[in-house]
Amino acid sequence: MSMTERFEFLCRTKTLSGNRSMEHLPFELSSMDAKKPFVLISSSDRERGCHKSLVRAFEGSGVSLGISTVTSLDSQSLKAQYALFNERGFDSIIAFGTGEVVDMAKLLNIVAFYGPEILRNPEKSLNGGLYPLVYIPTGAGCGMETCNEISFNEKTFSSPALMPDIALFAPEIMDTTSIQEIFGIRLQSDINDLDTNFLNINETSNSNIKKNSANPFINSGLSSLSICSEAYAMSNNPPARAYASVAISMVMESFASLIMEAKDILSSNKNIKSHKNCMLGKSGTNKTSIKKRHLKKSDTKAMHLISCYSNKKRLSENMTKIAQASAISGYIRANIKDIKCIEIANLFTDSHPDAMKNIPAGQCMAMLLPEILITYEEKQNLLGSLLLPLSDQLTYAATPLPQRRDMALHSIRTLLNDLFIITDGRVPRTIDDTGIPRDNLSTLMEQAGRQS
Amino acid sequence: MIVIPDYYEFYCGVNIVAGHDVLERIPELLGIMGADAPMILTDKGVKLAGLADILTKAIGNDISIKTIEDDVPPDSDLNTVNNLAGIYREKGCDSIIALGGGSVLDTAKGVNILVSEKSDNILDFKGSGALKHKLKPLIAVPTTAGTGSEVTMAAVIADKANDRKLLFGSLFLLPDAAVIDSRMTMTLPPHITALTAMDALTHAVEASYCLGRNPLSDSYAHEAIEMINRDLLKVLKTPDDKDGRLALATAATMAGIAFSNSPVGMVHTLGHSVGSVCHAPHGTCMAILLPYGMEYNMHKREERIGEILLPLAGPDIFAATPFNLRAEKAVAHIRKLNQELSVATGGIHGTSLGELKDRDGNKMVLKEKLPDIAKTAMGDGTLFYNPEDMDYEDFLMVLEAAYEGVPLDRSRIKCG
Ligand SMILES: [Fe+2]
Repeated sequence: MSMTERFEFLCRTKTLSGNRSMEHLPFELSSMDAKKPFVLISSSDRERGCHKSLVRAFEGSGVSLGISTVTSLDSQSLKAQYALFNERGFDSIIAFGTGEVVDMAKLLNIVAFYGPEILRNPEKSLNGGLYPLVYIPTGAGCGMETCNEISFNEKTFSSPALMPDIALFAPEIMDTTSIQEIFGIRLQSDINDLDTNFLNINETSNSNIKKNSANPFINSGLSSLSICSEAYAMSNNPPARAYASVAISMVMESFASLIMEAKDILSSNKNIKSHKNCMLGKSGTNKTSIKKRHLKKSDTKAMHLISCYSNKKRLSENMTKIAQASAISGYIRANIKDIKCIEIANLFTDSHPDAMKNIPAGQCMAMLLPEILITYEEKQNLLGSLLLPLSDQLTYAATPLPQRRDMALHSIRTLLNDLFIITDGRVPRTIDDTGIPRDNLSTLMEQAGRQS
Repeated sequence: MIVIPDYYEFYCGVNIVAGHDVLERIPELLGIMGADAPMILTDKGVKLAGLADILTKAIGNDISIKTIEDDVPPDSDLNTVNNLAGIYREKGCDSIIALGGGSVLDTAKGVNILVSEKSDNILDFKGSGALKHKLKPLIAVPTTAGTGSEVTMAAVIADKANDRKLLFGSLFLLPDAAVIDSRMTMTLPPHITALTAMDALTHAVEASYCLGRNPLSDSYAHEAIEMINRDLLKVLKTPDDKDGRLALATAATMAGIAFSNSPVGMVHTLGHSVGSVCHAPHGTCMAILLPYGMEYNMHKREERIGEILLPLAGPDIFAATPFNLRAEKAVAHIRKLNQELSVATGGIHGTSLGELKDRDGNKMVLKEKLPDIAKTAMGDGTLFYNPEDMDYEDFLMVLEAAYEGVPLDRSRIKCG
């Protein structure tokens, strides 16, 4: 990496990671002089009850929590949250969840600190600071949670102060439904008559997947992978590269584990078909109808598969990796300007509302990523170095320098091809897979080139 | 595979601004923080080297520098901190620019505590976690590429009257910005360039294999090791290599972030002791002792130390070295680097404790002092994160080998 350019990097978010990391929160808050945190949570997370471990962590700490559910993100709800926050004298915010919960937390923070008038003039700087903000993802996240921006009513606030003070990653509270859904698709198409209740997949979420491919786990992973890979390959920014490298490795590992297990199921679907009764018996949700029976060798294999994808610990760890990668992509967004895959994905989505509406931004970025990386030809060495986080030390080192660039692009393409298989073609590998007419492409790429 | 510990923390909220002409950005950075009347803190050596002049010229007339204080001793002390806090208030300063190495930074952090907390007694804030609020703006401009104090959340201030060192630890001690400008390290003489880079390398390598390692500290350390490996010898050959200088300074900051999130181990334990008993420069001790730290911990961390070979020696050597020999190869690589640094600095860079000489040509580390050094090491807190335990005899064994400059007899290590 040559250092002919200047660079700047600021990530004011502290990472806490691990199952018991919430126990450290009371201390962390007290070191910021916060004694009364206001917790924002989505209604689904509240129903899941995963905030109970947060409440437990604060027991006996002398810190009292207020908990409020975020139902929607509009002026009315913001007003209501602000009233609660103000009346009861809270001094910090914990965003327990992703997406809108964090958007609400950031907006509330601005309004609570500077007064509601500030919404009318977002140009006002937030240099005066904000209340301490803790971000605790319960799922994959979209990457905007940790970045330095928040948009509301078509106005955008931008300041490093908007990055959370703490991002806390606790596998135990992760909602892993979206990973299970992927296995759900696999199983459903393999064995149409199989009752998937034992996977805890409810009908609505499953039919959603059929309509579109908005799987948060896959989309978030692909979005983080794309943003971080481009930043890693194009910028002479060592701190950004250090963060991006971790995110890329985490996505690759998490996806590799998913793909391996899903392919395992695919290749063994005969076993699963013939032994589905045995599986249902093991899962415990159909205890009444199926009795335990003597296991043959092939049963054991089927059992093993079930334990693979219903292994809660592994699912949560994989989700945590994606959540952490997603948070890192937010730090990268905040620090690296002109990331082409973000701009191009936006452009595609805007210009092709019909063709692209079922293709979430993350999938769109990943599909275009190899082509985008190639546009940085003059930085081929940096592109080659991308092979390290995409693969492993030995693969990287064993690949001669002139081959690394192609190997790096190959790993990204292989990943997409594998995701295509395990989602029954729902994740596009190329633009052809999306159904966008070929002749529109050159115009689009030209537009994108002009914009970036 | 990324190794994720059961629990870890990672933080560096310092705005890192690096380049060949970034001192010019200081007025803007202060402006964002709402400040326009800085005190510049530095030491006589830095001022003599003309670096304060470069800084003030770069800052220009847009903001008014209230005062330039160069009275910081090599070991920051309580009286200096108190005096400077008085001057800060008297001159109506609203921020500090710390231009220098570790001691200047420690002093600046001390002054910042007093002026921000409106206090006359720094003792009220010692230990960790005593500070609860953001302090006044502090910008660090490092003039060596080694210590990493521009990104650490600790300060050490000597209380000479009571013969003790006061320790301060808090997130709020982190500077708001670290401005890394290649002009500040451009004129470092070869042996200082070598020993500061070896200090940084030791921070990164120890952070990589000691007990506090986590995915993010590993990644910061990896980048730092790679840059030092690529640029150190190059810069010694062509001292006015601007890009190389900037890379080394950046690497030192990256290594500083790595070890403030994954603390160092026995190389620093022993290095501190050799420094305090024999007054050998910190970086020199690091360069000599680093291979021994890796050897001593190898039975507990062989795979990890082997992985360090990749950024340390490059992909070709890594791929051509069998798995079970990589850790030893990494150690050998550091020894080879020390030899090359010795050649590049005309023999000033030391490769064993026994051959270290002071300015008058006298031996710095006498053999009969080794037991004293080992005893001092017993009381050093940095051993906490070292993978393998050490007692007095272990320290002495390592010191004796480092004195002679021979590899450690690993069969004598008591494996715990
Ligand atoms: Fe050091």
